[in-house]
Amino acid sequence: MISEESESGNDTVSLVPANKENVDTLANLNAVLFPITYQKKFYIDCLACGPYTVMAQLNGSIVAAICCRLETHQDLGVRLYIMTLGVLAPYRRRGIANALLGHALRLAQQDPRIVDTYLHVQLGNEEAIAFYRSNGFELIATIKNYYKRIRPADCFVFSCNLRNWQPRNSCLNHA
Amino acid sequence: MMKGDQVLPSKEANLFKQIVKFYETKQYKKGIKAADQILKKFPDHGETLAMKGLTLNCMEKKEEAYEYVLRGLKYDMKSHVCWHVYGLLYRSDRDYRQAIKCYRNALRLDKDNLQILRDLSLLQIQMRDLSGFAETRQQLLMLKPNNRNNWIAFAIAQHLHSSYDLAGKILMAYEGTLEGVPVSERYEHGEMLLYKAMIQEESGALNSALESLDKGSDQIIDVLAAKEARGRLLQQTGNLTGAEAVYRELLEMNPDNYNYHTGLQSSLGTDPGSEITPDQRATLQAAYEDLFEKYPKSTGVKRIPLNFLEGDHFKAAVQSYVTRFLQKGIPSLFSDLSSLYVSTAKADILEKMFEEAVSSLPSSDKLPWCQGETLEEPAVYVWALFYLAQHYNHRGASTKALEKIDAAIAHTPTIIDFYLVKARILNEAGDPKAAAIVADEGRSMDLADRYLNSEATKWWLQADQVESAQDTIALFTKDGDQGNNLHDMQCMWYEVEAGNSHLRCERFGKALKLFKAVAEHFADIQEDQFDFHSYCLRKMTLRTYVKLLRMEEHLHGHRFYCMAAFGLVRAYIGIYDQPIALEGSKSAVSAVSQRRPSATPGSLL
Repeated sequence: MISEESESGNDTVSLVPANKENVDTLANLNAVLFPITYQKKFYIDCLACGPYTVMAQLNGSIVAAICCRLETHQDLGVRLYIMTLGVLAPYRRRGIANALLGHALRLAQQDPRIVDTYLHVQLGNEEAIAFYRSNGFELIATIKNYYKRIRPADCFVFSCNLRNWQPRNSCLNHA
Repeated sequence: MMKGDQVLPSKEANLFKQIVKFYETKQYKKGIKAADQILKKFPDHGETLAMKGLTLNCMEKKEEAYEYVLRGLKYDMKSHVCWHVYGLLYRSDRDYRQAIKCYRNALRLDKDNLQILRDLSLLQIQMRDLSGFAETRQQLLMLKPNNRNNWIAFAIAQHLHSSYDLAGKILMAYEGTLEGVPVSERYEHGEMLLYKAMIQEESGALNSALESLDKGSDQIIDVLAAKEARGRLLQQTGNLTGAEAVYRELLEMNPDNYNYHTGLQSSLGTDPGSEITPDQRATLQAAYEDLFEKYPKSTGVKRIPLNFLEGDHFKAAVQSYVTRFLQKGIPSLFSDLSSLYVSTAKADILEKMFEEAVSSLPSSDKLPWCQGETLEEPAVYVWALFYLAQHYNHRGASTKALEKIDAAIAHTPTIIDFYLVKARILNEAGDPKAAAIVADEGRSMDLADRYLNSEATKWWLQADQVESAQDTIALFTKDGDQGNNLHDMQCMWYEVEAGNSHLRCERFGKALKLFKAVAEHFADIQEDQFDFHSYCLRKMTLRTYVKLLRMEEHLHGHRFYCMAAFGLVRAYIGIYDQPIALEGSKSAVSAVSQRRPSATPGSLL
């Protein structure tokens, strides 16, 4: 099922919601994208939280994905946690990650229960840090020894207040 | 209707009529009740006994049915009803030869009975008793010449009997009896005219056929079929200019119909099946450049020249042809081009082209043959790799093929087609187990895709992992009742593949069961034509009907039937060769099937 579609130049980017039929494609993609192998529980969470977790299809092939889950914080309320966001190396630098993030945040904005969104970035991942900053995320904390099996083990926590968030231009049009 | 001492009084006679009605309206219980009422008074009434038997047959009481019908016949040998009923009983058991005998007996007693004649004619055509069929249809026509179907059916009978002249004359005589065609029957009339032209064409009277088409042109509704027939006929009469014009008109309607292309090429003086001279090649090349101007969107117009072009012309054409496939990521490119590989020269050109593309794309983002500044998507590179993998596999270079497909998967691991091709390469390289595992990985990436599921099943069977195959295919059958469901769906590829796997593992009993199932499907398909004998006549789809009859006649030449037949023979031989395994065991099947898989698998077909 294709939820949103746009064409810019030769590119046709469309979003494919993750479901129990195609979840192995998502797992396969993540296995290539990230140094961590995620367990079943990770994907169960993804699917349980509805349409936030999507894959991006470029000219018919799936090349990127964002995985999210909703969490309940006792003081703040419901938060959108972005677990992973990645694009296959050959298909980077064309706004696909931006489109995926935009999709998740826009959905979250429409749900009044959700107050903010946050995520962890590994220390030293400058590309990712710049990406989230440019999308309105702010550094709120540093956690020591967050990762068990990869180095550096520390991470930053970035957060974004959804009430003020503005979408950047993306390769997906919303006419 | 009644004979001699078997005449019923009027009350019972009415009851008997009701039995027939109940039978026709499928109210079997009421029918039995009425029959019993008569039989209480007249226990020896033959026709009632026969009708009761016929009714019982429909209530799945076969043995009783035969008992009653035979008793009925014994009491009333001179009743055509009893013989007819006996025939119907045999017919329902698909014993058509016996049924024909019974009908003939019935007709001896009542020679002009239309119902029995019609039933007999159906059996005769089903059994391909062509001269009998022609006789019966002639009789029916003489009895009822005002019925359209009787004319048409008699013409078909003569046509099938290869009496083309007579068949044509019958249709013309029938046309002569018509006084105008009602609007509601215009389609049927047009079909009849097309059928007449078909008979004439097959008899070799090409000019008469053309004449018929011309004369009927304003009455034929299926204009396309008429035009196609005209093209074919003009071609055969040697009127190439005329044929060319017709094929160009047809291409205007559908520039991607390969039959029209073949027709056009023949009308341009080349035989698409054989070698062509340089002159002919030049003619074709010019013609297709023209067609390309006219139909730039047609894939056929671009693809077909690849068959006849050679050398540099071929190279230029194929380069521009594949570009779109690569840019759009169309997975079928290789299977589209694989027929070109009969020419080693073309295969070499393709190999060089794609190797160059694969080595230049990562650094330049450009296809080496594309001019201009546009940069290609990264996916173009991966689709080129995908093509090369299949190319090397086709040429038997498994190692290179694996290298390419692995590179493609590493580049974009989400494209499922890659996994299927990798499975094929592994299998052809002699590792069916690895192939199955890779195909199953591909399957798991989209559980909603039935094709992937079937592919994975196929590779499990190739690897003789029948249980995994059964579990996989069951995912897409109803309620997990996979055995029956697959049989009902006539899923023959599975039955043949599974049968072969059982053969390889020397489980001959199980193999036998599956191959027999395939043979049964073909018996069913042959049986299924029965309904069409009357249906097609009524609907006047005569050309299709004749094609159906011919298809059924060659049914057992079908690939699946041949594979199953070979399998059956091997299974029987296997069982015969292992008499020791059968001793002391109750069932031959279970004893054989418990044997361990043989150490040397390998294709048996």
